[in-house]
Amino acid sequence: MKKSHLALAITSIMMAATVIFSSSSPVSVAAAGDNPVTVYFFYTPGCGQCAEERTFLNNKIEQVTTLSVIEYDFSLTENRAILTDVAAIFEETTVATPFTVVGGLYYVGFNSAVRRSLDKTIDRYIANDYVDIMAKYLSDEPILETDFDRTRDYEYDLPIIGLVDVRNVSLGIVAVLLGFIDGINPCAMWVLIFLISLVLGSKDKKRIWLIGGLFLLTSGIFYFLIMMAWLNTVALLVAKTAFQIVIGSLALIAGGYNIYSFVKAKVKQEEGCEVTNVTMKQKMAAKARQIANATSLPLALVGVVGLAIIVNAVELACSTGLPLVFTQVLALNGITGVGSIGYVLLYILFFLIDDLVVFGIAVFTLKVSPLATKIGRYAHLVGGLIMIVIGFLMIFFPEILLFSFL
Amino acid sequence: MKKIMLITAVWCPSCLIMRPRYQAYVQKHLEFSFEEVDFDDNPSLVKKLSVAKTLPVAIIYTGEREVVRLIGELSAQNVEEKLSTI
Repeated sequence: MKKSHLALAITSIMMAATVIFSSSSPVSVAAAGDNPVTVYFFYTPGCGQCAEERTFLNNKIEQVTTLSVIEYDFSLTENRAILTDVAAIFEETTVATPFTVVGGLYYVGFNSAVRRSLDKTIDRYIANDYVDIMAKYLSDEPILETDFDRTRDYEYDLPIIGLVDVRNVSLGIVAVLLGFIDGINPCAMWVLIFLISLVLGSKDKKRIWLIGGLFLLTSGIFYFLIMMAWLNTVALLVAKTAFQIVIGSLALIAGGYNIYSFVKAKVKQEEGCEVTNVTMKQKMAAKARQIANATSLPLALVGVVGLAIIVNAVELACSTGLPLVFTQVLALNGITGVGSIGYVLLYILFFLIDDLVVFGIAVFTLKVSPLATKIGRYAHLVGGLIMIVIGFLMIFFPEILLFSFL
Repeated sequence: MKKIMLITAVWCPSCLIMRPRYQAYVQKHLEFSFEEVDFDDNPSLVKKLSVAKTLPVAIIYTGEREVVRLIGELSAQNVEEKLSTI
């Protein structure tokens, strides 16, 4: 598989999971209503985009009986003056057509992204309360800061997926991103790679699947339990500013160390295995050898469970930064207890994805892929940068880490 | 006679990746021989060779003389380029 294809596949999986997850996130759904909605549509005769938007609005009116459209011909002087005023209200410097105002939102131009957003906005206003800024302007009422609809600030039009409100998916994205980066962290991966390299010799695919799969499953369960325990502890202390500063500082230190490791390897051009904790690594390697050579499969599987627990426990200090940061973000958002299980599981799923890829490639090709060690180094850089950003926000702007849920 | 002495450890994924690359090089360049030394099993030799903080280490000898030392993970092309100058 080409690198670009792999990147695309990973991105697609992340996006799909994000969207799937967003549908199960605690989004409050307003009861469907039939609010009247007025769209103020500034157009210029002969303008192609205006014609396209008019077709869209006409179709929408046929579907929505409470929708009305008021048109303004921009070629008329008085309408130009109105649009100039309205654009200024929205602090928009582009005064051009088509220009559309609906509720507390406006759109300049018309394309597929605007169509999707406008469509969604109209549907949302039909079902929920909103402020019609244009109506207030026309009746000379004062326009308040709270009248503006900030929803679009959080909307992104993604390829394939379509329009996504980041407030609905932000914690899901954080879980996916941090879990994925954490999974690439090479702290505990060497044991999986070593174990795979040993069992590959047997050419017994069933044995390889069982041993590798159980190692990953046990690692996932262990990590899940550790994160839930940590989250419960964090939840008790999260309100204390001092605790936030401590966690933020730890994130900054861990992030700084990760970036240092990456830069050191790059500068010295010695990208390989660091000779540290050799005694522990030798013990793990001996244990893995015992498992690979065990004639009894049940005994080997018991050994795998033990090995996975030991190696993850021993390497916990090495890879604790991102789980720590993630549980703190969950706690800051008041996501604890049962409500947090989905997010932690999403984190773990993406934590295990790179291991699954390395394992899958190994099973099918009977070789250990160099990809594993290569991407691991970049995990130091990306993970470090993320930890520094979140650590900084946790200390100085914790409110930014409070993702609101509609 | 030229020799590649590769110092590896079982716990080192980069060693797993580099071993076949050096072996492939030796198969193509018959003037080279290949010897692998386990880092954990040969502490005194490793110490004598001053293997520092990163594995694998490939020490290239011409006769008895060490001429080049390649450390860590390198692409097959990189190995080819660095060894072609010897």
